[in-house]
Formats: sequence, C-alpha cells, structure tokens
Amino acid sequence: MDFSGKRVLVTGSTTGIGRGAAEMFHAAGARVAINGRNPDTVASTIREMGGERLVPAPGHVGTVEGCSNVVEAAVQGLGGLDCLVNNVGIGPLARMMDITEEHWDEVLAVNLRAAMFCTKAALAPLRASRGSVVIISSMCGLVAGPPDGFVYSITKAGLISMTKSLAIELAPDDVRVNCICPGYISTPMIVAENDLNDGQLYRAINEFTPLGRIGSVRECASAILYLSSQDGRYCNGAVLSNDGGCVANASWGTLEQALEPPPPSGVQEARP
Amino acid sequence: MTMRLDYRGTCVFVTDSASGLGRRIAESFHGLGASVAINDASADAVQRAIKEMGGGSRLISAPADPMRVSEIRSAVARAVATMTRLDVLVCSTARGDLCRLDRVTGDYWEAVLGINLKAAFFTAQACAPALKKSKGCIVNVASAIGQLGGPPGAAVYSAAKGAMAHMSRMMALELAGDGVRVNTFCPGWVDPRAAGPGADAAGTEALDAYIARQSPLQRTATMDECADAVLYLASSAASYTTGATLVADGGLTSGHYIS
Repeated sequence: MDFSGKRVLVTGSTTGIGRGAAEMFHAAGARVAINGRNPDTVASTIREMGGERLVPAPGHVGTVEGCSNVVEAAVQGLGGLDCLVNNVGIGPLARMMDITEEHWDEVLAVNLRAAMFCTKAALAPLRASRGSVVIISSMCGLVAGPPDGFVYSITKAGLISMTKSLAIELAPDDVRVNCICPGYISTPMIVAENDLNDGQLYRAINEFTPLGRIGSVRECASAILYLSSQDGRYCNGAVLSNDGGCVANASWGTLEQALEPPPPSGVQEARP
Repeated sequence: MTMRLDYRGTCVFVTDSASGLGRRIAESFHGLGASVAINDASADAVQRAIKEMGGGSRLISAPADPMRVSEIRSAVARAVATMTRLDVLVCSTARGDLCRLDRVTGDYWEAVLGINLKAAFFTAQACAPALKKSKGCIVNVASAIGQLGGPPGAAVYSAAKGAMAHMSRMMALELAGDGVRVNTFCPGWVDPRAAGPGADAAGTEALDAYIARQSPLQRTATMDECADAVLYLASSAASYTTGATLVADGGLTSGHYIS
C-alpha cells in the first residue's frame, strides 16, 4: 500500500495501536500528524520515528474544543488531510454498580464524543481530498466484554453505530467511514499486565482466541491502512474484526476444555 | 400456548412516561393490573398524565430531570419506597431528531446522549438493588437506527441507541447471577401522529409515502405494537430471554434490494 504524499492524522499515536498505525502510514510514505496529550511525548515520538514527514498535533481530545484544536494543528502542519484515524481510547475499570457520573462522563467524552467531533473538525479538508476516516472500536463493542469494562464496551458499540451512520451521511462527499474491532493486541498496556502476572494473561488469551495467540500491533495497523488505502476504496461503513476469531467464537471457546481437561503439557506456551 | 400477560401485583417504573411511547407502555402495564411509576422532567406533566389515566393508588408520581443524576436517584428511591418493591424498569426514552454533522454542537451531543443513554444507565443503576430483590427485569427501548446506519443526520442518535443496545448486554451479564433479565426493544418507524401532545405532524404525508416505499410491511408501527413487544420482554413468557434485542421494525433492518 502506497501512501506517498498522503496526509494522515492518528489521534492517540504516541503509544499502542495508534503509534503502530502512525509508523506504518509513515513507512508507506505518508506525512503523519502525531497526537497525544503531552507535547513532550509527542516530540519524543517524532524524534524516535526519525523526524521526517512528521508533524506534532498535541492536545487532549476529551473536550469538543480540544478536538478542533488537535485537528486544526494537524491540518495546518500537513497542509490538508487525507486520512483521519480516530484511535484515542481509555479503559478505566468499574463495574456497573460502582460507576460514578465522573467515570461515565470521562469515558464517553474520550472514547465516543472525540470520534464525532474530530471527524466534524476534519470535514472540510476530508471533503476537499475525498478522504477517509477509520474509527477504532473493539470486539467488546460487538459482544459484551468483561464486567469491569462496562462503560468502555458500550462506547465501543456506540462507535460501530456511529461509523455506519457517518458512512451513509458522508458518502455523497466521497468521504468513507469504516471501523475496526481489534481483539487482544499486544499493546504496551497488555504486555505490562502480562508481565505483572507471570504470563497468565497471555495463556488465557491464547486459550480464548481461536487462532491460539495474541495479535500484534502491526496486524492491527495493517487493517487500518487497508481501510484507509486505495485498495480499500469501496469499503464504506465496514466493521472489520481483527481479533483472531474471538467474536465468532463468542463463549464456546472453553467448552472443549470443560468437557475434557487437557493434560498440563497440552497448554500452549505464552508468546510475547 | 401458555403465555399470559397478567401484571397484577407487579410494580413498574417507566421513564419518560407522561407522553408518547413511554405513556403508552405505562398504560399497557397499568391496564394489565400493574402499579406504575410515571416519570417525566415536568412534575405537572406527570400529574396531568396520572389524571388522564384515571388516577388511583396504582399510579405513582416520579418526576425527575433526566439530565440530573441526583434527581433520577431520588425519584427512583421515592417510587420504590411508595410501591414497596420494583419488578420491571422500562427505559423508554427515545428522543432524537436529524442533525447533520456540520451542525452538531457539544450541547446537542450532550442532550441526545444524556437523555437517551446516560439517564437510562443511571436509572437502571438506581433500580438494580430493588430488581435484584424481586428477580425483576429491565427493558431498554433503543432503535432500529442503532442496529444499522441511520439516515443522514442520525449519527449522534444512532451512536446513543447502538450503545444502549450494547448496554443491555453488559447489564444482562452483570445482573444474570441475581436473576435479573435485561433486554432491548428496537422500534423502527412509529406513527408520529400517535406520539401525543407536542408531536409535529407536519410533513406526515411525505413521510408516510417514504415509509410505504422503504418499509417491507409498508407502514409505521402503532404505539400498541411497540408496547406489546415491551410487555412480552418483561413477562414470564420471556423468562429465558436476557441480553437479547427484539427488533419490531416492519422488516426495515432485514435489508432491501433494487427492484
């Protein structure tokens, strides 16, 4: 996939899936705006990525004004916009009965509202370039996720509906809107959690996932690039799972083990 | 067929029930013997609705501003105390209009997400302890627009309603251990002329023609058809149904083809 001359903004691109997508766009020739809350982290990300064809767009997209500011900085720095990736997301934990109004408002603002208002802020340049929007949802938005990810999961479901509606609304402008639903991906957050509990998390993920392993950030980024690319130009309103089969598997994954527990030697080793 | 819809002795809280679809749902439960807490932002509207429904001890006033979590909590607490129990919560608010992305403001977003989604969550959270005691159930009214993409201008509403259907699944898993069921009802086009006071009937003819063309059953749903779907999900006939989405949209989201 060739992104030479393309101008890309990835929100939340100093770490995790956003960083992986920014690096892959960049390697494919794009000019990329890097976003994160902390300007220093944005600057160091740009340094680590080599500095060329990279534009800082620091700022917090948790407010409506913040979304405008970040998109404006990116569009100014890049001289327009061809691809917007609404990637920012947070996942603070709380079960249904413990959710406070503050928790609700924060997760809704960052995970759901930011995608709407970053897209709104980017409308004019995207119309001009007949560009593309990719929204990062989650498999938790397709099937109910863990109970302590309550608000996270419902924002991810909201993103899927938002994707479909925006895809219809912006189609006359030739602006495409698609989303991906990653499963377990080896982001720094997951890696750290796995290290904390001696590889337990990876063993559980390997067991749960039909492909038998966690996904890499690169595998996730390539789905984002495909939907943003000329190769994917007839995709509109698509909801692309990138989860090793987890959603198809629903909750049957452990049936075999329950009926016939495998010997300990049969347990697959965790892979980093 | 052993399905029986008898709600005598059942205590129900219906949000946004002074008018429109919520009102019709409340009337249906009440007609089948239930005690029903009537809720609206306006205490006057609640009083008027109760009077129009015939009054009596089985209609409880539970006004609350849906944009204020503290008001929701105290209205639920008072209604549960008055009825002494709670068996069914129906989050019936389905209010949205079409607003193109260029014109969507932060205030518009907060209003649509607040009244349709956030209010439903905090009402359900407040009702959960009483529902656990009674092994009751929740029915959330979402929309067909949250299942597939909505028409241009529906992005905010569809995000709220898509999130709401998923919220039911999350709640269903969270509360299943306590014997509480949570389901979603998704209406499609509902007759706007039956939406009660304040409904804008302008352009109805054009809308009717559009619906006759686009909707497989070639008509809107009546309010009673919607209420019946809610009553079914809340009943013992649906006792093994939880986390489900019942779509009653005349075939709208099944698909369409070029003819």
